[in-house]
Amino acid sequence: MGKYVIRRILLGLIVLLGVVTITFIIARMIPSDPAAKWVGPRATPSQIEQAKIELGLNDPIPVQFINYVTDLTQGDLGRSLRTRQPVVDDLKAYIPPTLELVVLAFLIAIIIGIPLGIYSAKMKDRLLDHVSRLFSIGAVSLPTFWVALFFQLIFYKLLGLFPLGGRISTETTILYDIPRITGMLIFDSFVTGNWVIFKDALWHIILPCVTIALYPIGLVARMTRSALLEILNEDYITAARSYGLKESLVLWRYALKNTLGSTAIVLTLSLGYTLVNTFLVETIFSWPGLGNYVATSVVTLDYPSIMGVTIFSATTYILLNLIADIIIAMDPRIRL
Amino acid sequence: MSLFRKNIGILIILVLLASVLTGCGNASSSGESDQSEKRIAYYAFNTEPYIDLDPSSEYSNGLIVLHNIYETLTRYDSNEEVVKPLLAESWEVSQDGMIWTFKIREGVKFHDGADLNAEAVKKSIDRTKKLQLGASFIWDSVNTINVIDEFTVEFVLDYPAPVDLIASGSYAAFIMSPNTVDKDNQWFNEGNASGTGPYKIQKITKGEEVILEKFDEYWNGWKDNQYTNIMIKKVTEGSARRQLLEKGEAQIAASFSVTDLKALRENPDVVVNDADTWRNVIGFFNTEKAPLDNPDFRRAMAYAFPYEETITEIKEGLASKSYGLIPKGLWGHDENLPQYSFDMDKAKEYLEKSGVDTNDLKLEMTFTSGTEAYRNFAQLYKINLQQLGINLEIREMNWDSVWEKSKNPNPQDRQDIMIMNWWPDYASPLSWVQSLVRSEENVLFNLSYIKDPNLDKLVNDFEQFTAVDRPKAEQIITDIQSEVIDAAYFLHIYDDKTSWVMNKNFKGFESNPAYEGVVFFYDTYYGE
Repeated sequence: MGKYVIRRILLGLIVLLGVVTITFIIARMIPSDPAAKWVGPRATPSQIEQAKIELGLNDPIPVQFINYVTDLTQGDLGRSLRTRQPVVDDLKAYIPPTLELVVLAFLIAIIIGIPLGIYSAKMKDRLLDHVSRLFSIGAVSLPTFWVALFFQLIFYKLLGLFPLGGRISTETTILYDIPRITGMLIFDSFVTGNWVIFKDALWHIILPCVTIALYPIGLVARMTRSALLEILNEDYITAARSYGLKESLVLWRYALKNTLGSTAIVLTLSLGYTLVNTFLVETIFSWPGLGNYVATSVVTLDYPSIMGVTIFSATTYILLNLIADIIIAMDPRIRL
Repeated sequence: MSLFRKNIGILIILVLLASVLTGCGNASSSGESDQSEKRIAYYAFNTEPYIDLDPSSEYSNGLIVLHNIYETLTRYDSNEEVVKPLLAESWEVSQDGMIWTFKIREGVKFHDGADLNAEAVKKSIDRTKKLQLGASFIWDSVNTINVIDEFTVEFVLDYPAPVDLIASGSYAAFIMSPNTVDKDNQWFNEGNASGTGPYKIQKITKGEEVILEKFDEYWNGWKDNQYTNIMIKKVTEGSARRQLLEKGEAQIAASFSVTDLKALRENPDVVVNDADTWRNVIGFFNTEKAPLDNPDFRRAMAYAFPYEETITEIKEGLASKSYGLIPKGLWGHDENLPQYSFDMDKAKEYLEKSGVDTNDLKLEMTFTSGTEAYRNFAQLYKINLQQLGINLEIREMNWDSVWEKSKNPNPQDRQDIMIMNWWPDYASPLSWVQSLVRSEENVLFNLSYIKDPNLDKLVNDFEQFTAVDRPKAEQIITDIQSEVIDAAYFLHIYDDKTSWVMNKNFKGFESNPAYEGVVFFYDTYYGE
C-alpha cells in the first residue's frame, strides 16, 4: 500500500507539471495586456513600461516559465494582476469558506443519500422507492441556481426562517470578534467555544449547503440503490439471511460495504468538481468563496490567479482520486 | 447498529437542529456588547467593495470605502459646480497657474492620533506620485511639494493645472497619516488604515465586506442619529439586494434591473432616487479604416443611431440625452451644442454625399459583454443600418479582448465601432479631451484614432486655461466639442443615471456624481 501511494503521488506531480505548463502557455496566448491590468484601468504608457519590467514580462517566455515554476516550489503563486495581492493569500481567504460549504454538503449527502439508497433498494418498486427515485432525479436535474433562488424565496422572503445569504449576520459581525483559525467559521467557532457565532454561522450555512447537497444526494442515493440491488441478489446475502441474521445487519454491515467502492469514486470526483464550480450558489447566497474568485479571475484574464486556482483544482483532483483508489484498494476482492 | 443507538443518534440530530432553528434567531440579541448604542447602516453593493485598500493605488470600487476613511484637501460640490474646502481651508494660485498654496485645516487628527499638517499632506501625495499606480498620473503636473509652515503647503508645477480640482479627485488624492506612508500595499490590504475621515476600519473580509466604525475624534463632530457602524458588503444578485431592502435589512443599494426598480418604486418602505452620473456612453468610429475615414459617411452613421429609443425604451428613462462629450452636471456641459438625432432621411442624404458604396459593406461593432443596454441598442442600430444597406456585426467580448483589438497596430484589423463608457478621475472635462481626443503615439484611449493638430492645440490650451482662466477654458471646451461633433468622430449615445434605492428612514443621502457609487455616511442619519 505504501509503495502504491508513493507511486501515485509521483505520478500526480507529473500530471500537475503538465497542467501548469499547458495553463501557462494558454494564458500567454490569449490576447491581453497584463502590465496594463497591473497598473489600472487608465494606465499611461510609462506606467505600463514600468510594470512590464516589474512583472518580468520583457523576459523570454521560457525564462518566465522557469521563474514561475521555481517560485511555485517555494509556495509562491505570484501576485494577482487585479488585486496586486499574493495569489496564495487570496486562496487562503477564499478556499476555506468554499471547503466548509462543500464538505458539509457532501457529509449531508452521505448521511441522507446512503440510507435513502438502501431503503429504496430494500423497498424496490414500492412507494418509498418511487418517491426516492423521483427525488433523486429531481435533485440531479434541477438547476442549482433555480433551487438557490427558490429556497431564498420560500425560506427567507415568505417564511423568514433562514437568512438571505452571507456567512454571518451583520450584528454578529459588528458586535463580536470572529475567530480565525482555519477560516472555516463553524469549525473555528466550535473549537473556540464561541456558541453565538457557531449558531449564527450554522444558521447561515444551511440553505446554501442544502442547495449544493441536492445533487450529490441524488447521485449517492441512485448509486447506492443500483449497487445494492445487484448485491442483494448475491448468494452470500441469501446465505446470511438463511442463517437468520437480522435484516438491518445484512443491509448495513454486509451489503453496504460492497457498494461503497463505486459510490466513493463518484463522490470524490463530484467533490473535486464542486469545489471550483460553486460560482452560482456563492453568487446567489453572497458566499465569499472560491467560485466567485475563479469566475472573476477568468473573466478579467487575471492569469496568475487562474493558474493558482488551476493548480489548486488539479491538486485536489489528484488527492481525491488517490483517496478513492485507496478506498477501493481496501476491498479485498481487488487483490484476488 | 442497535435500535437504541440509532434512536439516540436521531435524537441528537433533532436536538441540534432544534437548537439551531430556535437559538439562531436570537444569536445577535444575546451579545455582551452595548448593542443599543450602535446604529448600523448596511450598503449592499453589487460587486467587491474594494480591489485594493491602498489609498495611493486603488483605482476601482474601493473609493466607496476609502472616501469614508480618508479625506481629500477639497471636495467637489456637483450642485454648485465648484470645489469646496475639506482638509484645506483655503487656497490661492499664482497668476501663471504654476504655484498653488493651500492652507491646511488645524485641529484635525488621524485615526492613529497623528496631527494633520502640511508635512502629512506632502508625504501622502509624494507617496502616491512615487508609486506610479492607479490614478497617480493626476499629479503629473506637480514638480515639487513644499512645506511653507506647519499648516501651509505649496505645489510647484511643471505646467499650469487645476490643483484644486485634482485634489478633490475620487482617486489618488487621499491624505493618509504620516505614520503609514512607509507601509507597503499588503499592510493596507490586511485592513489597516489611518485617515482623517469620520469612520475607521473595524474589520474586513477580503473581497467580501468592510465594516467601519465611528471615529469619535472626527474633526467635524457628531450629531444624534448618525450611524455608528457601516457595513459595505458584496451582494451580487440584484434580487437579493432588493429583498434586503424590502425586509429593511439593508439601508441603501443600487444597480437594479428595470423589473426590480418598478417593484421597488411601488414599495412605500423604500425611496428611489434617480441620479445623474458623469458616466457617458460613447461610440468610437475607427477613422483610420474605410469607410469611416470619410466624415460624411460618419455623419450618416450618426444620424442612423436610435438615440431617443435607447433612452426611452431601452434605458426606460434612466439616462439623459448627451450633448457632446461632457455629461450633465459637470462644467463644460453645454446644451447649446448640436446633437445628432435619429433621422434616416439625413442619414441617406449624407450617405449619398459620401459616395460610399454600401453593397456588401460589413461593419464590426465591439463592446464589453454583460451590458444589456449596449446589446439592445446595438440591435436597434443594426436594424437601422440595414436600411442603408450596411450589415452591422455585433461582437461582445470581455474588456481585455475589446481593448486589445482596438490597439492592434494595423488599423484594418481593428473594429469599426467600439462602445465604451467614460468618466473623469476628477471634476474636469480634461479627462475626456486628454484621453479621447488628443492624438496618441501609442493607442490607449483615443479609440477613434483622432489625429488633428488643431484639436491637439485646443486640448493643450484647455489644460492651461483650466488652471488660470475658467471662463476661457469653458469657451475652449465648447469649441473642442463643436469640432468633434461636426466631424462626427463619436456617437454620443447617452449620459447614464444611477437609481439609488434606500430605506425610507435612511436620510441625508445625496448622490454626488463626482464620487461614483460613494455614500458619504457621515452626512446620513436615521430619521422617522
